[in-house]
Amino acid sequence: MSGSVEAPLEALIAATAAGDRQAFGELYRRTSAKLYGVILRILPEGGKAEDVLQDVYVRVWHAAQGYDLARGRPVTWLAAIARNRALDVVRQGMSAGRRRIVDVDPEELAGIVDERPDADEVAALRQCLDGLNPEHRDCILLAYIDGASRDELAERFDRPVGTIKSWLSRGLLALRGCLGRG
Amino acid sequence: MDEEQLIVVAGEYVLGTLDPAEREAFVRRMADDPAAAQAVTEWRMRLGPLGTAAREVPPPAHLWPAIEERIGLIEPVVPAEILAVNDNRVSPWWRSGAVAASLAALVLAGVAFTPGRHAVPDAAPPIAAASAEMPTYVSAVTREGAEPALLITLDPETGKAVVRAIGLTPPQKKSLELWYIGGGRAPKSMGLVEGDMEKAMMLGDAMRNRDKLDDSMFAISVEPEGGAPAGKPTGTIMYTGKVRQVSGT
Repeated sequence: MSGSVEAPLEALIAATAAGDRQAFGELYRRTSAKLYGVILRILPEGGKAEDVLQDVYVRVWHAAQGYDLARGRPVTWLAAIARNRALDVVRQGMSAGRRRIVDVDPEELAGIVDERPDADEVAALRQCLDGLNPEHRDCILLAYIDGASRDELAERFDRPVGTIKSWLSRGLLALRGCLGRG
Repeated sequence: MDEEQLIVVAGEYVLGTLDPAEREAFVRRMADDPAAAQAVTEWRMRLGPLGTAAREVPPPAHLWPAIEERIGLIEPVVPAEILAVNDNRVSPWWRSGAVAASLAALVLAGVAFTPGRHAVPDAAPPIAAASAEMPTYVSAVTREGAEPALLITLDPETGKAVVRAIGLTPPQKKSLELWYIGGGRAPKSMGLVEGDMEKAMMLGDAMRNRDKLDDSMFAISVEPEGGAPAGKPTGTIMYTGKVRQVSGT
């Protein structure tokens, strides 16, 4: 996402929608490591994670026509497709083995992709997350990034599920208050 | 449900923390409650960037060919046994007419080597290095009429070749080996190629000063796992590409 001669990802998605396989190949080369990283946070490495990445790009190939900038910048849009597909697999109980939720990596928020012109929004999101009660914030991040369920969060924080529900709800309301209604 | 409750349920729906019964109920509600649907859209916009926070992990190389196959961009790799019915073996294949494949794909080669096209700088140091030198020769190694399987840039001054494979999948229990054939001489092995690998290599002695690069070519053959045992191609030729000058003198 650096350098001035790259085709913008928006253009690659538009070309993919028109059936341009070369553009689709470039889209894959430029975004697949990020999406695979997204999937691996939710699913263990191996068969299912690989299947999900394939599913995601097959879906992108067919769904590129429906891409709408209003629904999010390209990487955000792609990451949402990857995350949703990985969560589907978790919910269907298809992932092998029991997942273990670990700590929030403080460095990780630095990895959020600043997709201009949304850089300000990302900065606001980071700032608002920083302002949350740390436990509330970590619950939100672990749920969103790692796909943690309430039960998994309860285990991770060694608290009753009711407490987790309360943390999530207070965290979400505080986040919304900070970010505004939009 | 008051407004705050709706905001929280919609937020948990987007977070993915609702239990299955709550989720199902909320999905039903969204279908005929625009306020619920709107609350979800707003949470998606707020939280969406978090979805990009994960560290990048390059996926295994075999995934891209599998994706291409699933969306019908390429046919499944033809097993070596079937390829062997081609008459490439009648004469040494690097002299046969079969290698004079048309390389309309050179346009693609030019595009593919546009400098700085990589999102991940440390994923592609060889390409970055080559771009700075403005490569003057390219070779797109293809199967006849097919998209390139391998793109190569050559710097005639230094003999440095930057090789980029594009979703190359060897047949089962086989390896794909890259060969450089300078001016009609015997093939020189450039090592195994697979997946989406990219690397820089020196042609060195293989590219003699008097080689006319326009007479040179690259080819990929199917070899036993690990490569041709005697340093000479033994298997069927799968892809070929002539070297073409694209810029410079």
